[in-house]
Amino acid sequence: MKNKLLTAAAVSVIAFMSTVGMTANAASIDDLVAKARAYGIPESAIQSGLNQYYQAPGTYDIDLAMEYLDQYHDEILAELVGQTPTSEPATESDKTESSSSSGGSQETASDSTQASSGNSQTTTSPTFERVDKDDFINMSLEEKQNYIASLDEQQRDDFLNSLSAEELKSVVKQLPANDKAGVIDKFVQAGGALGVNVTIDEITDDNFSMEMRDNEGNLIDKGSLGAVVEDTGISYRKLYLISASCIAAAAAGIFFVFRKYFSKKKAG
Amino acid sequence: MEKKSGEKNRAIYIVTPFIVLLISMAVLIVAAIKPYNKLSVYLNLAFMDEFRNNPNNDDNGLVIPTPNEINTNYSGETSENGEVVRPNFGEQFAVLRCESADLTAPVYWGGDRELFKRGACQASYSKLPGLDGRAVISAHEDTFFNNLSKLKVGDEIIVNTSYGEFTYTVSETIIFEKQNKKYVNPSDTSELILYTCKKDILGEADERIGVICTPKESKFYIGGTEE
Amino acid sequence: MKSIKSYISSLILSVLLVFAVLGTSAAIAVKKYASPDALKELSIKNGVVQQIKSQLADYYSDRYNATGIPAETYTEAFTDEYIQQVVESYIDTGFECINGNKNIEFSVPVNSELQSNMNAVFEEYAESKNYEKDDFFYLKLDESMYAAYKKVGEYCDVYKLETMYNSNILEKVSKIYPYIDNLPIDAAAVCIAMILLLLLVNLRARSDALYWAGISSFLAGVIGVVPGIFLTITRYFDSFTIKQPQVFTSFTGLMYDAVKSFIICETVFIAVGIVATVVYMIIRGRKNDEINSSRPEMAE
Repeated sequence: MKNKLLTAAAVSVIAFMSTVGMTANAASIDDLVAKARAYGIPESAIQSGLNQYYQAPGTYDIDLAMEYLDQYHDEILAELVGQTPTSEPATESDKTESSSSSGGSQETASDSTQASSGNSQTTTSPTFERVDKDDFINMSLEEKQNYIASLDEQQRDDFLNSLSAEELKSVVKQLPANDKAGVIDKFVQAGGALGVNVTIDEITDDNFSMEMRDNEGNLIDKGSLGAVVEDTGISYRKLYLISASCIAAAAAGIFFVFRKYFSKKKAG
Repeated sequence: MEKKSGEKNRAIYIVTPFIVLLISMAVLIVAAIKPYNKLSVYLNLAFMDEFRNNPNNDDNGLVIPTPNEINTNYSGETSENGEVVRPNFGEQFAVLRCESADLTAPVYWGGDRELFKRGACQASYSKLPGLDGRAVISAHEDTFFNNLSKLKVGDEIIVNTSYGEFTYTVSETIIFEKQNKKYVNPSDTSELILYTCKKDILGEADERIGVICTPKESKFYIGGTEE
Repeated sequence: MKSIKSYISSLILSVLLVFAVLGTSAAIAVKKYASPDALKELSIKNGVVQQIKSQLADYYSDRYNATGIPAETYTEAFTDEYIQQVVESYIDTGFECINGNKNIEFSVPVNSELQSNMNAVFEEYAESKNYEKDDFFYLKLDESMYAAYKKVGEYCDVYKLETMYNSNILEKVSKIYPYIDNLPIDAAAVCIAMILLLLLVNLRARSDALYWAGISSFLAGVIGVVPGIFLTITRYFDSFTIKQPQVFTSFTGLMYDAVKSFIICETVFIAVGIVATVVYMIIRGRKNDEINSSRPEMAE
């Protein structure tokens, strides 16, 4: 879910820049991509956003897009602890990807650095011995919140600044539907401003599904919270129902014929 | 009495053709399912590099991008390492083949109702063939992955993309429930997961069958596939 | 319909006869078009040669900026006869595989005019740039020739036989192809067998078999004609959005022609069914009249 939220955010943010007009940006597209990866936005979303960006590069307000991403990040942390950290999270060390004008992009196989792996992210090291990343991911939401509540203020800020993309994703995944809706709403609003329409199909405690479309209404990405087991069977219930109805009608006809035949025999 | 008998005969003569028609239609509907699916697969395989998007056919607004050329008979230089080319959502970026199970399917990036009609779909959150990590590909049981259950340990799967050819070996066959995401979650283990619905007469099943494949060989094309 | 047993048996045989009749029509349509000559004729009828030439001209015009080779180098060599020759070569090769030869290779006939045009362009380029005609020069020339043949082949494979071969579809077709020749006769034989069985189960009133056969033929015809007309009127196959116009034309042309043949067969069966049923009604009517006239006291 978080992946998809982040997907929406990334695409929205990056595509947003395409609708704002030529601006001089302090940040570059690479900075935006690095931040998106740091916040755990799925690679597919980043690529969709990049594709939108490269259709009209240089016309986007990347700085504003960065702000939207930060707002999203703050929203997640607010859900987690109820307040934002005192310092900005460090951005990911650069593992930039080149994108071709046709929309495809190249990655190096030997050192792929998709945000989902979180291997290459450089985060601020906390000044105390924090819980192991995998252990934190495996905690329930309540356990995460309790752990953070057990830290003092400085430790909490350090810890929140040290959260990796995977850890951020795990938090969003665990949020109840109502809280998810609040975070997702950021993306939907950002998407609307960025020329990317994000439609949430379904949102529950365990999942949400969404579609992203460009400003022409074309579907550019879709997905749901985290991994999905696809419906890979075609339902034939309707066909079987029609067939059974035909058989039933035929049986009724045969019954009718038999009645006529028998009554004919008796009369004979 | 004769008149009544005549009326009854007429009734039988009139009703009987309808009975024959209804039974014929019922049998035809059920019998046509499998041939229709087979024909659909063959047409998609024959024209997979030819189909373009028809918005009238898809009410989802999916615009299927023009794919890069996928060469299944590449004879140029290759390398074990190289760069992948990330496809756009909805793009056919690979062809998956398994000779021993008579399995061939175009592979599209991302999952969508329309894409599943045209071929297999790779989950866009999973890793592309050639990258470290888990690639997850699924397809309809009635069509492109109809022979998936025939795969056994040791069988070879070849995935041809525009940037390389990747060979995998089936290491394990799996069955899991739809709610179990163990085999579809992102993973750092380099493997290929293929899955589809378990065969069910009604077409939809909660169980999934599949295979786990380990990478055997990676051949990245050097210099591209263009003439 | 003298007894329940004969009625039920006749009902079952009638349903089987419906499928046998449908199968016969389908077999006739398949046999008509499952031959290289039929496909070649269709390609000429549908005018795919002009479409291919137009596509090739557009392709090489677009490529001129990248390659520096004028489009005329290619288009002048691609005559109508040559293109038709390539189309037919691909059809013949495809059917070679369908006839059982698994190790085939789709190749394009040599075009001497293309070769001399390419040579001329390369020579001119080398002279203008004082380029030494070394091994690399001739390698590039060969590569360009190879690419040209490959592109022509790709555009002339209007029935996508090479793609089907690569996907093992032709191999599957080759398993059933030997039976296609006799398929209509076999299907007709099944129809006759069903009719004979109908006679057998209606021994006490053999004319009833005419009724059952008649309604089966009529219903089979209706089941076939209605969807066939629907497919034709709605131009259903036009919704197969295929990129290359020549492939689209060939595919849809084949489908519409095959459906037309199927509709004609089914219409014949509708007529046969109506005639058989009418004849039965006449025979039945006469029998009833005979019975009535032999029992004058019942008529009162």
